[in-house]
Amino acid sequence: MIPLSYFLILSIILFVLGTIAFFIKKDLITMFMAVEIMLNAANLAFITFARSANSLDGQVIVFFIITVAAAEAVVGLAIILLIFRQKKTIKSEDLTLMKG
Amino acid sequence: MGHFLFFLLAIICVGSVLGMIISKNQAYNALLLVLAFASLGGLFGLLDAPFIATVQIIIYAGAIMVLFIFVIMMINLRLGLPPEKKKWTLYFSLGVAVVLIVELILSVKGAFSLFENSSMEKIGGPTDLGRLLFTKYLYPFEITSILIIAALVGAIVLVKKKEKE
Amino acid sequence: MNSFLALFPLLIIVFAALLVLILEVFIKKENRNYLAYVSLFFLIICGIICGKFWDKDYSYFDGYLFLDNFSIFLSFIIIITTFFVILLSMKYIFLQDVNYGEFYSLLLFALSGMMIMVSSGDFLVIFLGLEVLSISSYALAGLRIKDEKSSEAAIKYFLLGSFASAFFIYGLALLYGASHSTEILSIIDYFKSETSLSLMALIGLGLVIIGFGFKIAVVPFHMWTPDVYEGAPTPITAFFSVGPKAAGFAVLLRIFYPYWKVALNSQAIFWLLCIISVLTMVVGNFVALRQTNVKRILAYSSIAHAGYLLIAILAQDNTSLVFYLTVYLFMNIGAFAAVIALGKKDREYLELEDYAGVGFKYPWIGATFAVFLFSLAGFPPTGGFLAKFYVFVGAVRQGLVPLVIIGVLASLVSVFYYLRIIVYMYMREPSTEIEIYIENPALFLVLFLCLYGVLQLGLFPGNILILVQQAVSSLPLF
Repeated sequence: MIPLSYFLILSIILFVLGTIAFFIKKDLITMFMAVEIMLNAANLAFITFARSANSLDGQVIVFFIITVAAAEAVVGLAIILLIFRQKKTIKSEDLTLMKG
Repeated sequence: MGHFLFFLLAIICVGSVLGMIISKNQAYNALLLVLAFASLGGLFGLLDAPFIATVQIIIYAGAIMVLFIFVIMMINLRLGLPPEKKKWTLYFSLGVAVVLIVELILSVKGAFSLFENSSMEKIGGPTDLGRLLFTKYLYPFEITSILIIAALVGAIVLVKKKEKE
Repeated sequence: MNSFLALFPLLIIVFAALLVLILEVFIKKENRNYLAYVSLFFLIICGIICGKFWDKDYSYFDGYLFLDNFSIFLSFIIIITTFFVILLSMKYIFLQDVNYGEFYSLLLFALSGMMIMVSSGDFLVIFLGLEVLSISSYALAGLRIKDEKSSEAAIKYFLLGSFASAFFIYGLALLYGASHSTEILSIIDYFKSETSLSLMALIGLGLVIIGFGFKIAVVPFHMWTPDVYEGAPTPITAFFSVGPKAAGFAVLLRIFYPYWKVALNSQAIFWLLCIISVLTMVVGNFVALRQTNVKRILAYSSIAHAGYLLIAILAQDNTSLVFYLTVYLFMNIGAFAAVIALGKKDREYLELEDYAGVGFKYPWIGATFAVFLFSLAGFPPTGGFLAKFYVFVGAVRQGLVPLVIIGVLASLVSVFYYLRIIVYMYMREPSTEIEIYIENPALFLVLFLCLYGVLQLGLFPGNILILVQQAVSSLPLF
């Protein structure tokens, strides 16, 4: 049996990596991918805790998180396409119409 | 065996996320992410959640990432395709192969233990999950229907071309 | 009482959203205003039904959904907000060319998300409601698809919003891991005892607060606010500045009302919120000083108001918090209504320079705008004064004197930028003549109702205060 703490540590590593990626990446699609990684880290944590509590609730919650991720992906990619149509670029540093 | 699988999958997962951070090409990023999600699916399998593992691979690594790749293709097609790098594809396919092997081993292992102790395997099975989803979690489940229709409407409004005057 | 009726208000709103979506196909473009009438009709029905359910305490789905007085009062606040926003949008979407039927539908979906949030005591349901709200909001922010600013607003809102959601859900995972539950009260119950997992639970709660901090726009999680408020269509900006904030604070109240009472190690969270509150008031008000775009000024002002509201959370002063939210609804929607009034076909006037001389050219709009600004700044006899007064008095009673001093000083600073708009309206010679589209009865109705609300709450707040007290006394404790 693998200690559950290993899974938790992996989940934390993934969450932190996702946060880092969100800040250092410059294109919108990859920034959004970083958010997906963070959501997956949460999924892993939920399933680990479900295992430790020996209950199914954590697994059901993961279902909902996956649904939310899918819904976010649909709207997010639509917005990214919209940006690309207007600006012909998806770099975050090109979003400079508003400052202050 | 369990430890070996865990570390293999964990290293693939973290490695592909690191690769995503380093790589500048969005298409590779998306594929690396597929790899990361697939290996996460394997880890879910290790945690007695075989059904969630399947869902993870079908919906996350399958549907959602295909959506990503679709959009990346639409954007890249107009800018011209990125320069080919043979080495990457080699490593990438190796990674996919490893994950596939692990998944297969896991599924076989599940089948073995089904014969040995059937009480353990029941925990993450589709029957129990489904029952829970339609009893205790009925309200959240219904809310997701609102969520999905709102997302659909929002996405369509944003990308549809302006209607003719 | 366990009853299916508890679902009714939510069902009506979702039904209205779907009906509008279907009707949009059959209605000609010129007649799109009928969609607004349909939405308004269902909002009124929903409001009446919510009123009927007052004191009934219906609940359903084993505590995932309960309509206690608190939920109903907060539902009222957000239903009225949506009602005003729809009235404001009717001409706006013609003038600024965002004429989509889906506009109203998305607005109603966002409303349903907020209603889910305020009427549940379970983090999972709150998370899903929050996502319904957020996803509709991302689309609404980008609805002026010809305007690049609007798309920028949408992408910024979307990226930071989903980033915040990830924080929220990871925090929830940690809370679930510690307490094996997603229900707020059982999680708080867990904080009663000091165990080896306390630190994890505490960090989980911190992450949840960060996630909410993005939604209610408190410093240092406010970076998206000014840009999104500036870029989004103005009625939607009005909606963002009131609706999600009310829903977010409702959830915070549900968390912290029991939390302060039982938690052993509440000090860390207390100080975290103190720091956030002070930063929010100071940064919000000082950065507002150097803005020249009216929408941005109002954006920073709404950030600053979140800081005052946090003081009420810290002082465990639920009545003042809900009263403040009520007043804030009228004065903020009113201020945005005045901004929307100053527009014509394909043109909005948003720079301070444009406001020079408006007070004399359009005396009614100028005067009401001035009243709303006075209320936001906290002058008597407006509602804004009383709201701030109650919050500060409540905080002094709890011994939070330093926080109150900072709050008072910060609102003194805020007087400067609110008055600056008024000075421009009445004491500057206009450099360019502005013209506005005057035939907009719905908008003037909103202006009038908000004016009435602000003055009523400022002069005779008695009745509303009694309702607010009934509402907060129904909040579940152990």
